[in-house]
Amino acid sequence: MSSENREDLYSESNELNETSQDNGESNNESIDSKDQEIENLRKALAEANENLLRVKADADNFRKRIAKDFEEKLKYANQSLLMDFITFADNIDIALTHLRGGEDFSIDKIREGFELILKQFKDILSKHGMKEICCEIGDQFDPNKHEALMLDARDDFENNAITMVLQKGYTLNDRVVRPTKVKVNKK
Amino acid sequence: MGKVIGIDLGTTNSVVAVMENGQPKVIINSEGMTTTPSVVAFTDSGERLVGMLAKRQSITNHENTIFSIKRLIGRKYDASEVLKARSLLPYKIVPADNNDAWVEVRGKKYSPQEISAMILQKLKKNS
Repeated sequence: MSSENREDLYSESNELNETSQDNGESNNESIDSKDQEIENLRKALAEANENLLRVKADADNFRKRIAKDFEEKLKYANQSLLMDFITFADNIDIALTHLRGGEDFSIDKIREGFELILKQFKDILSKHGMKEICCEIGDQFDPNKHEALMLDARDDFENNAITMVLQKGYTLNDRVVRPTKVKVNKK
Repeated sequence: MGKVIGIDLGTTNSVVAVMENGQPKVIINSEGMTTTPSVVAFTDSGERLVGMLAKRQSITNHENTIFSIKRLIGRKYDASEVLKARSLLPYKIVPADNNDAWVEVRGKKYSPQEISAMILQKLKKNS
């Protein structure tokens, strides 16, 4: 090997050494930055966990408060309805006082009074969304609003026609809460 | 994550509940009730009624109103339970090709599973 070549080799190996030293330094640096990053992530995770716990507790409290509010509302939800019922009771009271007064009322007068009180009661029901289901004898049976309790076999009615209303039905805010109980013709 | 639901497909009534915040909540049906009668009816006009509506018209249409169908699921036509059901139920119970107990309504045969599926569809529509 010539001396020139040897020098070349020497310089090359020196360069190599330098680069490996460079690598060593940059490795140390990257480990430091990774440690920093891990530390940062740890902190972020701890913070996120804490936030999650807080949000969970908030949601829990919110749910409890809603349930409590709901219970409280439910307790007094009937108030306006019951207030209307009181007037109804008042009127019955007045009617009874009159009847007990010893004065002789004709049966027609008493019936008229009953009809008025009933009308008033139905007005209260309808004010609160409860309406009577309209049902005429001879109407076709419709399971959406009627319930068949009995069958009839009459020639003067069509098949599936209502021959008798056994109990009136009602809707509350357009939902059938009690279907009209009827007798249905089957030929 | 999808919602967790639970269905009780009962002989007489069926109920659906859904898990909300770890608590089961029963779903209310279109009639405002928590339970839906396990009844399917086929009316004169070819309409299919399920639940309360089917129950309300049952006496006017008893041959085409199917209830207690769960008793027939997976049973053979000549099984003792089916023999008993045949004597009690007003609708027509017929043997299928494999001798399973099926029902026949307005000339069409249905398997008990199909009838149950109609009830499940109604429950699904509500929820």
